[in-house]
Amino acid sequence: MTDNVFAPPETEATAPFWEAARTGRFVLPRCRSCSEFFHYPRLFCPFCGASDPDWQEVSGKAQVYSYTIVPLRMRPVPDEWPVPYVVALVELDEGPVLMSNVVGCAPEDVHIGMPLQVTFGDADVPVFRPA
Amino acid sequence: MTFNPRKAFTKPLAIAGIGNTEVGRLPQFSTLELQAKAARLALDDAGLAPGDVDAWLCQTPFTRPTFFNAESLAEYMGVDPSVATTVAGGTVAGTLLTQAVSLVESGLSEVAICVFGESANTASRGVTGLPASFSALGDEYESPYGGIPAPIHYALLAQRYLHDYNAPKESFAAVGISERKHAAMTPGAFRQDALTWESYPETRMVAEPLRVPDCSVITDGGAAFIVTSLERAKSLRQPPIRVLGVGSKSTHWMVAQAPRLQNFGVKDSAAQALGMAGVTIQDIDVAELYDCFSIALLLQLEGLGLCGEGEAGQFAIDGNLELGKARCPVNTDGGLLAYAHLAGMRRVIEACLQLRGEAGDRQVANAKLAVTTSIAGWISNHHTMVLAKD
Repeated sequence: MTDNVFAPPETEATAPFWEAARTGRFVLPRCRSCSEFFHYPRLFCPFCGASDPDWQEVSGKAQVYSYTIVPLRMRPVPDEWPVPYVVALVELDEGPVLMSNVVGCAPEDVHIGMPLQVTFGDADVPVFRPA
Repeated sequence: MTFNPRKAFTKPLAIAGIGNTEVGRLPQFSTLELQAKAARLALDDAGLAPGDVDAWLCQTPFTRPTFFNAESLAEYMGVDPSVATTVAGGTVAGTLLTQAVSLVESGLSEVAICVFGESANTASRGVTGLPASFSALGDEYESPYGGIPAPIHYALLAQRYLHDYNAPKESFAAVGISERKHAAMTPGAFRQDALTWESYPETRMVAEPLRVPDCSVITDGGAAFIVTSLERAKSLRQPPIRVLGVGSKSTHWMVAQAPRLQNFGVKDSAAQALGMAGVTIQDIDVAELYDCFSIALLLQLEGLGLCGEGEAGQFAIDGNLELGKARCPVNTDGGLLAYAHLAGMRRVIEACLQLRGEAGDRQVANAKLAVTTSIAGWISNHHTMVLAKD
């Protein structure tokens, strides 16, 4: 397989997100017109359509909107992936919801509403630990 | 969110032929051959020859990804239709049926066939998961978290559902148990072994809170149906099944981008289809719903209005899906959880069998009006279709 699922397609509209993540910083696009933060990065604001969003560092504070403990590897998850693992929908204090992992605690301790703080995983992507 | 009401069709339309192949593990047939077999069955059912069909509509199979599927199937069948269109992506039955009724209503086509085929069991060796070809826009925001597999997406919806409504933990099991009973009454269903309150907790966890019986079976198979005017259908072999309404709504793709629970497109797609048909959900006699996961079925019961918000779990536990108990039985052949994963195609076929009065031991008495649905993604795109006995 030549496809590296971890290699994000970096474009002018998305590169600042990935570049910041590689240095352990969590930045998101913020609309210059309606002031909403959004994830994922886009050329236009999904709320009002304004172009050329600003980039701002966010607090990294969040809470669990939903989660699942996954005890096995399903395709296309690689064979060496550690299990069990927690996939969560994480609601940032700034508003956006993104998919991530909850790390740094026992999977069975994760619950909806749990306060989280961003941290950076080996794959240079934002993951979350209990706050 | 915007709601666009739809007016009734300007001319009466009907499903004139249906058919699906055997299902399960069928490595002796290619995906294209499964489609051809299904097309043949639907044509024979209607009493039509391949050359009588002037629109061939197909999906892009995940297990044979090609954008030229309709051309290749038409060639395989030895015909040269005016229309050969391949539709990529999910909610196959709803998308294909909507295309077919649009072509026939407008007069661009007279007879349209909608064809589906997958070799999902052979391709996956029966292991839960998706072929690589499923990869789509936004993978870079999910792959790094091991988050691509479909059961994970639905588990995220299921966990939040339990939380928001304090729903009974048995909500999901109730769906599988009911559908497995129906599958046992349906010749050719893939899983006919019993699922019970005792055996369900012993099954393998896939992504909490969803277990193996909460996930659709993975099957090879083909399915097809034929759409034409009511007038033409009346001259054919089978009793026509009217298509009264089609509704649809696409609210998101990635699960993180989904609106909050209860704000999926189900309500709007149902309101469109029912409004077009001029009926209400209380008029429906049988529901054949897209149950790729147990939670998907529960959320649709609520979105369609078959029960109240947050009540679907108890509704299922109380037997309101089951033949012999329910006012409006749901998934009378076992659905995607037990009969087969033929996308929404088999849902349409089972609805037609019920409306024709040909459902054998599982026949819903005097079934005159049916609702059927199909889904792409994680209730990302939703279709509702209202069908009726002529």
